[in-house]
Amino acid sequence: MRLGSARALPGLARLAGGLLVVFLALPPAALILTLGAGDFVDALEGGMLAALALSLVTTLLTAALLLLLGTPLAWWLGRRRGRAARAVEALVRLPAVTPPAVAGVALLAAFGRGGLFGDPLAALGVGVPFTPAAVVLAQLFVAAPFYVLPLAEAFAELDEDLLWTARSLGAGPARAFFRIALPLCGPALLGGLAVAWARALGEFGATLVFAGNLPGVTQTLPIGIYAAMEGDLGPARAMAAVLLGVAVILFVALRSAPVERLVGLRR
Amino acid sequence: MTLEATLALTRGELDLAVELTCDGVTLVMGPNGAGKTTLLRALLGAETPHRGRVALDGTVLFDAARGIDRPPEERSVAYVPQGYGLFPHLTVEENVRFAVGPGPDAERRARALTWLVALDLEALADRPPRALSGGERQRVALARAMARAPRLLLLDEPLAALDPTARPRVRRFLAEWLEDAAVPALVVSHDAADARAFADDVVVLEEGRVVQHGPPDTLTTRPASAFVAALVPGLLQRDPRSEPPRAAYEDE
Repeated sequence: MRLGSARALPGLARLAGGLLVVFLALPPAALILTLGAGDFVDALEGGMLAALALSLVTTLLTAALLLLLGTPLAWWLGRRRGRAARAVEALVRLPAVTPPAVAGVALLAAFGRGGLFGDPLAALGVGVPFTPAAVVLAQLFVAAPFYVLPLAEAFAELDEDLLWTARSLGAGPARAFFRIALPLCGPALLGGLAVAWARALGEFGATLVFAGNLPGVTQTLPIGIYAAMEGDLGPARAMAAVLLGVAVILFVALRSAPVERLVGLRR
Repeated sequence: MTLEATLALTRGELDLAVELTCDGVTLVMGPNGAGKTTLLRALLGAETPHRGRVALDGTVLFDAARGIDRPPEERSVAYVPQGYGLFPHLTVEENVRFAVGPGPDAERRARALTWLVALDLEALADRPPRALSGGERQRVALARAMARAPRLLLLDEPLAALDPTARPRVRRFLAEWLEDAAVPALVVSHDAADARAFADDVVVLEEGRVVQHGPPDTLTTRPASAFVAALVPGLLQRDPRSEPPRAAYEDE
């Protein structure tokens, strides 16, 4: 028996690991197996399409905001070692350990009526809570660490000599970043984006508190499931299966060849 | 082409203060932590000295007093780091094409191929760097550096990544190549054999200071420190396999 290989695992440990696998596989399997065609009809009548569309549009916006705002932040965090960078890193990590309901209340405290920025914004005619914008903000808040932190770690591990070599070969900072740094950190970028997107897609607590449950306005698919649960479990099951399908498709698509080509991971 | 550099900078334990005038191929030697790599990085523009001036044939690259600090991409200084710094996600040809200036893609590809042919690398054009031997990687790095038409070459330990059996052959190649390239070069090395093979001058750095600077012969006759004295047997050793004809350098 070679130590360090999977074969070195004793029987009891294998049984323990196997139990967890069965437990993890059981609920999704049950979800699919108990589905009936009628459930989908009921779900469609219950506004599933509007909720699905809202989920897709808001998470797409969240992902775009993460790319635009999170990538420069990750670069800064990854390339700096100072006390300021460590403090900012802790701040970015905070949402990952914040209970979603707490995040929702905190967002209300910041942008809600009577909140820190809520009244000035209201004076300008901008009301954030209970709008689709609030859905996006809630998703951005909870998903950001899952994108920014792994990418920052990848940037930190990047061989600095490669970047200086690129510069010495005539590449400005932008070209060195987009042609060398970004492709080399592509797996971390796509992996982080996939997890952050999945987290945004499943966002429930912060969204419910900060954006509410307004069908067609702020009712995302997870909140749609919650609303459907008040009646029969059937439509909720159908929505859950659709949400699971969308999450899996997104996750797989983000690691697919065309997407990898887009960020320069493949030619 | 002459490099004139006066610079002072502090990085952690290192307090670097050097004054250099270089022509031809200059070997930079010294114990670990003496500041050899930091010196190359400062000449490249990866480190900013707190005082000093760097000029290539009168073109000022850096002047602390006048607030001049040209970025690396505008210095015409080619840097080949330890391990050669090939971009692992690009093929050999794409690595070289990266250094070719702007232009239509087909033309840039053709120019990259010219450099690959010059270094006998065209058969490897579509390989990724990880599929190359140490000597082949070095040749790709040199082809890529020359594709930028540099006015100064900075090579950090160009032979250290090779296995010992390949080293004499690659050293011979590098010696001939440096002579043909006709670009002044600073080459960091630990090995006295490199001094015999291709150095016009040797600069010895210790604790951030130049302790000796001159042709290899002057180091053997008047070693300025214990470190230099320890190099002397290596400098005097005759090794016909890595020894290029001395006359080639005396012509210049």
